[in-house]
Amino acid sequence: MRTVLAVDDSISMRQLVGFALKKAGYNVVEAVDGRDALVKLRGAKVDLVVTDLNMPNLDGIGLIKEIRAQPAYKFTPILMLTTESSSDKKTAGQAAGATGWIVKPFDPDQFLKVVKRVCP
Amino acid sequence: VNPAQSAPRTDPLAGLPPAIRKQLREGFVEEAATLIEELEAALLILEHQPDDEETMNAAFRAAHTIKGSAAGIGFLGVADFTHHLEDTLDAIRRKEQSLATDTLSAMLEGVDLIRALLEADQRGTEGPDTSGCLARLLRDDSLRVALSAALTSPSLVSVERMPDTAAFAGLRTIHVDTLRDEVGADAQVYAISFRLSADAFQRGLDPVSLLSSLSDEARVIRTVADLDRLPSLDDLDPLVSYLRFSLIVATQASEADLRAVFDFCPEGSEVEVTHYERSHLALVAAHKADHASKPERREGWRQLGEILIEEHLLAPEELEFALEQQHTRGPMAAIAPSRQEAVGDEGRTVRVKQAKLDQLINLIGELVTARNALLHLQRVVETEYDVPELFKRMKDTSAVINRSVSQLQTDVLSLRMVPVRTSFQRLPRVVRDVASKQGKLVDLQMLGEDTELDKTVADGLVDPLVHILRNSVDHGVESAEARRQAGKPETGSVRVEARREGNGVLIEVSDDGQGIDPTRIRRAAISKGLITEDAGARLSDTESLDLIFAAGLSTAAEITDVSGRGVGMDVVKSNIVRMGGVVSVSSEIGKGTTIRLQLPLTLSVFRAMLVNAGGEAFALPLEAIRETASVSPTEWHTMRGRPVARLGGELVGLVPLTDALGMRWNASAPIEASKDLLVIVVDGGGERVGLVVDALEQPQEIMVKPVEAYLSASGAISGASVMGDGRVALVLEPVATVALALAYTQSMAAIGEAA
Repeated sequence: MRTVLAVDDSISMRQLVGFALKKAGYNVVEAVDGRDALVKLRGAKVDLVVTDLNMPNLDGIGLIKEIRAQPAYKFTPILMLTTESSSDKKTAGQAAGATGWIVKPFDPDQFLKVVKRVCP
Repeated sequence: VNPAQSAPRTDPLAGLPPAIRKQLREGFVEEAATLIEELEAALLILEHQPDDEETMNAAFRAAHTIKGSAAGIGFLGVADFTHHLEDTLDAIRRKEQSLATDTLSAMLEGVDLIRALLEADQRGTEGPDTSGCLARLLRDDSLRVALSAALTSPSLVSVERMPDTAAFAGLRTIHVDTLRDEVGADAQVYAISFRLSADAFQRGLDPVSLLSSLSDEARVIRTVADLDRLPSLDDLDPLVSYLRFSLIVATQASEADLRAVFDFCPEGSEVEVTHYERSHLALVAAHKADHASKPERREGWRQLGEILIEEHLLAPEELEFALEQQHTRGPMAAIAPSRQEAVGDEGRTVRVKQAKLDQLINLIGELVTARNALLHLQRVVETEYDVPELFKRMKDTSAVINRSVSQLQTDVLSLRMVPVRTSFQRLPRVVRDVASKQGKLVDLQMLGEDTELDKTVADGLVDPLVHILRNSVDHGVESAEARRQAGKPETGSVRVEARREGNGVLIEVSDDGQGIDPTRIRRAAISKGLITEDAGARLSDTESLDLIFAAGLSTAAEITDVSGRGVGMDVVKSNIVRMGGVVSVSSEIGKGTTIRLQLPLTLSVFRAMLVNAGGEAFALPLEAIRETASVSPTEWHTMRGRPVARLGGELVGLVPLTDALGMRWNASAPIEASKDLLVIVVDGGGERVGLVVDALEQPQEIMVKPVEAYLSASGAISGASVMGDGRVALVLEPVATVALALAYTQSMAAIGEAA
């Protein structure tokens, strides 16, 4: 079973993402911000990271850079959750090593389609 | 000592008498030239039919023979290098190396190097540097070979195939029907091809995930991995993406949905999604079915048709229709000439030095002249002497001579006739190189290659043809992307066709590219100062297109390193005109362009208009003459001090031929307001001028003999011909003559203004 690390400081977003993924058969690990995510990554083998960008402590871009720096996660797909208005953030995320993006708000089917594109 | 390795480093012919050495070396150069051409032709076929063993063997044999003979004759540069090329071919033959595009390009580059080395060895000079090409030829290819073997092992594909036995016949039929229902009339077929950017893996992207997503969106009929860019094991970087994946899918999903799968492909990735029309599928299928009998080692797009039939996406009737289409339209994707053409079968032949043929033709020329003199004499006898008996006997004898000479002339000229194929030989390579440089897809069709032409015309045709084809691929055919958007097949088509027409040969080069916009040509010509704004406004579209033959016009939005900077079509035109030919162009925006070359069958005999000026006789090729006219004093007038007349609806400057040629010592009488002028309107180099002469004679067939260089220094006099009455007529070359006449007009105008 594939494990997805869902990183978001909003409880409802984490729930929405987690619910959709679990229903599609993924195992989900949740993290509340970038720093928390790095701790969680140490514990489990993660196949996909879905992260928000605006978060306290360590934001999404910072997290992506940290993840890519780790040999074990060099090739792991990372999806960022962005809002339509933040195309600058999208570019920055890609430069940091993100694989793709999902524009908020999204419906669960749409979300899963994008997830499957990078982590079937 | 291994004799194979101790090839003589000195001239192996050293002990032989110089005359024999020379003969042997010349013989080898000739033999090698033929073999090099065979090798090149075979390689170009292999590019499209990599599994054609017979062609593979032909290529190997050609290289092997070149190497062997070169070593024996002492062309050591050729021998050493060709040895490596032979090794590469052998490795491919034994499936130890793959016939990938880069290897093929290296081998074609090698062919060019062999040509250069041949020349260097012949002159005893240092040959070109072969190290770069050698490195590409001798690359370690084991990884690619192993992978492609694994990819095509039967166990991997047999799963999809139905056993083709009687027991399954019923099932097969059901299978067809259900599949047709399942795929349904509304299912669309797409060809998808993608290669992720080199850094894609490090961005968390994996082609396997994309393939899996695609299979969610569509029914994948076949997937193929293209190993072309895979480096040798030593150079392989496991963090880099090398492979291209190509798929055929049938789906109800929209093209946008399919493209969305590739949304995250980083910059530098290549993604193509092509929708296939059913009719197009049928055509491709037919072409591929043609090659289906040969076992395929490499899976690729080539198999689309077969696969579709196998998958029952195409009905047999559709295939049949397509076969028929193909039959009438000629083979598609025929950049490489078919094998029969490469091997050639022209019956038994004898090699003759061209100089000997030329000498023979010269002699026939003398004979034709003597015959003309005899006919002239016969007329003199008839009209000026009252000897009817003698005249009758003379007439009978001269009729026999006349017939025999005409027959002999035809036969001897036919000896120098060669199929136009020899001029077409370089074209597939040219199209391939330009197309691959620009990433365009181009099919070249060559038709009528057996049409015969005089060798000198055929030789003079090569450069213009190469230039026209470069232009067609460079400026005519659009990129695959642009073609798709224009609703055309991605692969552009360029067609070269030769056929006999009237007294000569017509060669048409047509493409289905973007065409030439006459408005753009007009604007370019005005902005380059080639024509005035007023003149531009008066030009019809056809006349505007003709401007592409004017010197110094380039309309390509950006100058490419392929077709250069607008020097070209004017040179093409002057080369063709110099041979007594005519060039024309027609084009339709969005549909394509056709360039027509009308060529004389032979250079040495042609129909000419004979004129007298200043007491001399001149001959002008009939093709260059627009019209002849007697212009009365009321019909011409003076403009800026120079006489002009409206002829053929156009204002033409009148120049006495003797003035144009600078014959001051015996110039014709000056143009006077009171007398009629005899004018021949001549086209040359895109310009037109009215030459004023003293007398016109009947057109006749003349035989041109070369003249001394000092006579032809101006370029206007290309030769001389002896007339029936023994006079010598100077043969005028139209392009240079017109240029001289115009230069004369300008200098006179300048004098007029100064005065």
